[in-house]
Amino acid sequence: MASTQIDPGLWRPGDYLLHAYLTDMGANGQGGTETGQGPFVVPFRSRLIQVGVVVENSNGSDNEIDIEGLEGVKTSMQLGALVAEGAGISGTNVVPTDAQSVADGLSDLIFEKATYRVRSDGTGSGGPEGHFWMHMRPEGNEHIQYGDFIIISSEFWDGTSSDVVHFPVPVDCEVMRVMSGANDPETAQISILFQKNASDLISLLQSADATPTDLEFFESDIIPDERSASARQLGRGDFIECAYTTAAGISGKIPITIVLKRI
Amino acid sequence: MKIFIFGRFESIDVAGAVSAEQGRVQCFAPAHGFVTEVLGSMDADTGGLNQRMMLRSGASGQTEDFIGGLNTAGMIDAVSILECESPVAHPELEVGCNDWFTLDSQGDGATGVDSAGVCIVFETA
Repeated sequence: MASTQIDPGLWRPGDYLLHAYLTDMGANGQGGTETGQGPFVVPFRSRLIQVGVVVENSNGSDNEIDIEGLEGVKTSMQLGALVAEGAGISGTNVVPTDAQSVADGLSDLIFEKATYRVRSDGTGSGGPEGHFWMHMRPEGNEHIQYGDFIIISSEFWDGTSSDVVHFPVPVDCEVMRVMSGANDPETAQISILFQKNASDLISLLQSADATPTDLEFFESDIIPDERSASARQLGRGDFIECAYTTAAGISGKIPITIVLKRI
Repeated sequence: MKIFIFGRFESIDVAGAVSAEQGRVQCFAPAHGFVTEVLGSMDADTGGLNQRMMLRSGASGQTEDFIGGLNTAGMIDAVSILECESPVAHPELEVGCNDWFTLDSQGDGATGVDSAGVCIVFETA
């Protein structure tokens, strides 16, 4: 079901939100064809309940937004489009304006645990920027061990060899799993350090390959040990710092997903 | 239904707007409801002074209502955790369908906020 807002009546215990940020690729020199993309990681096998997008300031026309990489397929798979029509997008526009096309393509859609990306194409002088959210419902039993969980989904910026971001923790929780992926073929291994309050090690996540491929997925269960036991316990006033390093600048944004268990 | 919305700041200085130190997080209000809490964090490498985070919302960006602010005083020399448990300006402000949040940061310094994250606690009506 395509929508611009979550329907609370559809929300069930255990449901969660995912987020992807559509970058203005036009600003990166890919003008001429207006494109943008934002990767995201699905942490459990899940069913898509609703999806919404906000696009702003793209200077674009006729944006079409697709999801690529479903079921681990590494080539493009167009499953429906969110279409913003018009001579130009200025200010903030809420799409879809053509919701039916999404409903046709995405109804009863199951996402495997993997890396995906939202991709937009259109015409205009600049690529779109925007936010994409998905209301997801876990399928199967994998999520049950986490009880009441919270998902942090974000991303690192592209074009640099290192980046850091940190998230404030709103409630008492425990870090259960960290995930990431590659959004473009990369030339060097990606390492991501997760630390409590920028000092205590939670996990070190590394891509399995020295040259991660397009839409690669990697994860790390948090294995309890003396070193990380206290670091995994977080409460109000704490924050999680995520920092990646790689020997070469990454060509695409790197998604981050953290699974927190409320305690 | 309580929803935690996480976001990170765009680095506005990359886009060239360096005269005023600023950054922006945009989050989509996923349903009709209330903002009950705002938490923010800013990193020391922002080189910032007197940072202010201002959360606004508006229907499709047409209008913007100030929700609340988070403030730091002086130079940020470590990661600062800021909390706004009761949005100060409009404690009962409802956020409707298709609304979006903009969390702007402004301050006095040479560069924009880069490494900063936010958690908006949102209760559906």
